[in-house]
Amino acid sequence: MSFKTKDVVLSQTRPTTLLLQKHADYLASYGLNKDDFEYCMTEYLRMSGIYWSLTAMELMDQSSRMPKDDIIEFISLCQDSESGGISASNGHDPHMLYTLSAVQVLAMYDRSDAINIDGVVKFVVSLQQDDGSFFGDKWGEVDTRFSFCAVMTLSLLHRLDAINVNRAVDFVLSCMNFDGGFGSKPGSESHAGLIYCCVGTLSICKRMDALKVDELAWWLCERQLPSGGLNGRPEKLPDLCYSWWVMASLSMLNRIHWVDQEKLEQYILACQDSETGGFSDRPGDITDPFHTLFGLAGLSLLGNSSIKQVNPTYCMPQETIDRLRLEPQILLI
Amino acid sequence: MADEKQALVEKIIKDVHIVLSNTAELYAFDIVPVETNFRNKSPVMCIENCLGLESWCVKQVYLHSYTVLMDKMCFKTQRKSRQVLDSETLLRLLNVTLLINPDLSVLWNKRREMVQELLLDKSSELKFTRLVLSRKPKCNDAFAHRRWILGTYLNSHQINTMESLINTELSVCDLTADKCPNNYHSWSHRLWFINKLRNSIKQDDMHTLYIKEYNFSERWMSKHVSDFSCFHYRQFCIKNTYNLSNLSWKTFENSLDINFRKVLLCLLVNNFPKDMIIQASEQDLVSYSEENLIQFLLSYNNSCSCNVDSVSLCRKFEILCYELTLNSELLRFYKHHESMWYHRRFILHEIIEMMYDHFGLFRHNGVLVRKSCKYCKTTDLRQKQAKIIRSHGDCLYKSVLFQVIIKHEKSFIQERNDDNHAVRHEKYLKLIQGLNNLM
Amino acid sequence: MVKVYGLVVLYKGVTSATILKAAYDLQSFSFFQRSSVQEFMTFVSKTIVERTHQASRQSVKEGEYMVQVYVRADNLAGVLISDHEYPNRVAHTLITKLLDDFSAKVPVAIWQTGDETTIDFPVLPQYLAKYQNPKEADALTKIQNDLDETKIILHDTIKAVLERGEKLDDLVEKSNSLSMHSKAFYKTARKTNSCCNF
Repeated sequence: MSFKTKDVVLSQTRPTTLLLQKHADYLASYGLNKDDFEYCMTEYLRMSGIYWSLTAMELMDQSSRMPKDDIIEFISLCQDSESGGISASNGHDPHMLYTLSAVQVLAMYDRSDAINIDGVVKFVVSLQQDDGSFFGDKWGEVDTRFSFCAVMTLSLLHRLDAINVNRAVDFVLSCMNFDGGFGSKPGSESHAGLIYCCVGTLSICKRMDALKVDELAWWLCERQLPSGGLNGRPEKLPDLCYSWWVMASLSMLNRIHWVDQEKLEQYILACQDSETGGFSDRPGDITDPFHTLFGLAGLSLLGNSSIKQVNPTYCMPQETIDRLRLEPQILLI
Repeated sequence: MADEKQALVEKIIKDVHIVLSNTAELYAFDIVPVETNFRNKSPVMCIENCLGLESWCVKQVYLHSYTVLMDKMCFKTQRKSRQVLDSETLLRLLNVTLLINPDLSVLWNKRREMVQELLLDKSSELKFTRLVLSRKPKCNDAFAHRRWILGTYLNSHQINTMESLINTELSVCDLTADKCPNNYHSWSHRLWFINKLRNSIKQDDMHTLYIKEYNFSERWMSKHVSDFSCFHYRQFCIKNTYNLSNLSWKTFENSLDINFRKVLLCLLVNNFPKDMIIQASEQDLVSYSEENLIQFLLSYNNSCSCNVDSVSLCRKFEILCYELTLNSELLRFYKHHESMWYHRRFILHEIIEMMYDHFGLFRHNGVLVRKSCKYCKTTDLRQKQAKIIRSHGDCLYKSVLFQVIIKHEKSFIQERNDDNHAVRHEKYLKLIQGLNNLM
Repeated sequence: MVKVYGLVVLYKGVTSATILKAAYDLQSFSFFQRSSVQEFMTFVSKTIVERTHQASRQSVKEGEYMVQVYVRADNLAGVLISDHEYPNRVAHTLITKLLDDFSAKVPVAIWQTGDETTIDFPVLPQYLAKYQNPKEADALTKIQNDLDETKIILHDTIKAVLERGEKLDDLVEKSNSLSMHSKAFYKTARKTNSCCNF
């Protein structure tokens, strides 16, 4: 590859083994030693933060270190009685993104009873449009992310029949590009994160047959860079979270072997911080729970035996998906 | 001490407000790294229409304004105390908090409510979001706010200066795309905006805009050779030119200072396959009608008697061949950029797809499928399909255009063989575009 | 993007390098950053020229920037700062041409003693403007085909150019040419983890 390839170089002194205990400690104390400023800066995504941390802890089999009762109480408090939707934090507005995070957390705790399920269903149903797309909230932004949130939320609650699934699928398919990828809206550029959302939607709705499989898998595995890391679009730097978005999509397509798994594992391990614990986007950067989850989940897809098996569609432990008797579609080769 | 701090923070918020309300054309905001308050003067600066806030005060200002907003006017939990803040104070706090942290959707929602209650003016919202984007050009909430405002404008037809609205919006996109390469939100927004205008302006004006955007994307692409987002937008512009009216097409060609037909013919004559006996020279071809040219390139008689729109098909091939030539030039000059190679995939995919379409075929997951004629809906008998697919496929692969394109690609790949991407390109064409046995 | 941010002519003395003339195009930076960015570009140019051998060329990648350096056998040096997309070959050809023109206009005698204020070479900003489009320079590169691209030493980061034991952080801290404001700017610019939500 040329000198001008946008990539990073892994240093000799990078971590090469999985520092599991460090990561569990990091997540257990995350939030405790944050000052008020950081807390207030990130409060707008608190609910997703809880989902990232809890799922990571579940995958490490250490979720007992999370304050379960407080979390469940917090979620109940965040449900808006009027719309039925759930917000990121107390005082924020209900949104599809945080409704999904909350439902995922409760599914892992097997405590869906802590919220008004009919309210959540009503909220999701109210946001579907005639063309099958979904608004994120009442203000009307359309994005394929919200389609994924809608079908995942409802499927976790076993209420997928409440929306028009065919139309939801048609909308997602209308966002497909010639390269087999998907963007946020019809005609938008292919993006690995949004591809994950769209493939995930089709997996839950069991419509994987509609994909341009070869084109898509080809595009996805071309995301791997010489460092082993993956980017999310052409000529972007590698970022650990794409170890999830790309690899989970390839898993659903049953083509995970199309990337160099050994090199990817090295890259993921290099994104660990051996002092603070946690994973970052690129080696040497500051760690956060978001990248910590996707680092661990990525390693799980690669078959790391010290991490629990993750489900590629739901990004939750396979045991939770089994308990809920959900069977998202995986393509047969 | 606490009182003193509070007074200082309130003073800063007031100073920001003064700059915001007194400067008509404020076009940039930034947080300026200054670690301590060593100069002992206001951390709010306004120089050359740019608003700056020194970093030492950011934490305190944010904590104060965020807490007041969330506590006092808190949207749900303490509804009783809701009207404690008058709209003026509320706006001051919303401005400063969102300038520091523009990801707070709840505050953008509040602004939308205020617009609905006529407490906030739409045009000033467009100015404010522009300011936010000058510092955070990837802020999706700010783009979403613009979309909401623009949506209410365009739906209500209350706009009398459409031209200036369009120019402003496109300039915001230029600005944010230039500041931040591969800016997904900026390019998506641009695409959304152009699509949105389809329902709001006359067709002629729309065609003029397509031409303008096509030319813009050509300039931009030549200066941002590693930014695939702009190549993707270019693809959108190319597809929009397919639908130009005859009149617009003339304007289009004139605006470009390029003879499309010549570019197509030049590519053809330089790549005629050696083993093919070609009965036409470049001079002959120049005088061909579109119908004759298409017949020459694809020599195919449709099984149904529907007319093919040769003029339109010919134009499409012209645009795509011009794009191919342009892409080759850029690749030769800048080298080693995945984005340009990916764009080339698009061009070839379009050309090949159009040929398949012309022959009544399409490819689905690696297999050729017969499609019914889109005009007369003729479908073949099931038993005959496989045979027809084979014979049409053969016809296509033997056509002049197909042979020329394959030869051209092969020699280009050969020429650029020191570039890893060329190898990948060849693999892609063979394995994904299904040209394995054909090149 | 294809962009040239700065063109700098320097003289490489025995212990340090001095700036003889410089031109910058910093329109794309936020207003409040421009002065710091310019100070840094000057600082980096000096630092790299001091660590480049006579009669050699280097291309140094640093973050989003490329620093192209050519030190001639007579110690006259040129630096072109661009983004990654600007072709190396064109950049180096331009520097050669720039230094030829400079030495034709400015007598050798004052290279050692002169500085930005005393030296008269007003065409530099025009160069900068003209070569924003590297195709303009293409004609030039065709004439100067003798540039051997393989002789340009490539570095992935400025760290690779520094001598053993040297650290960029220390050099920045010690530098007299950087203002307090710029040093603060440098510290914040380093690793502020941006959210990766595309």
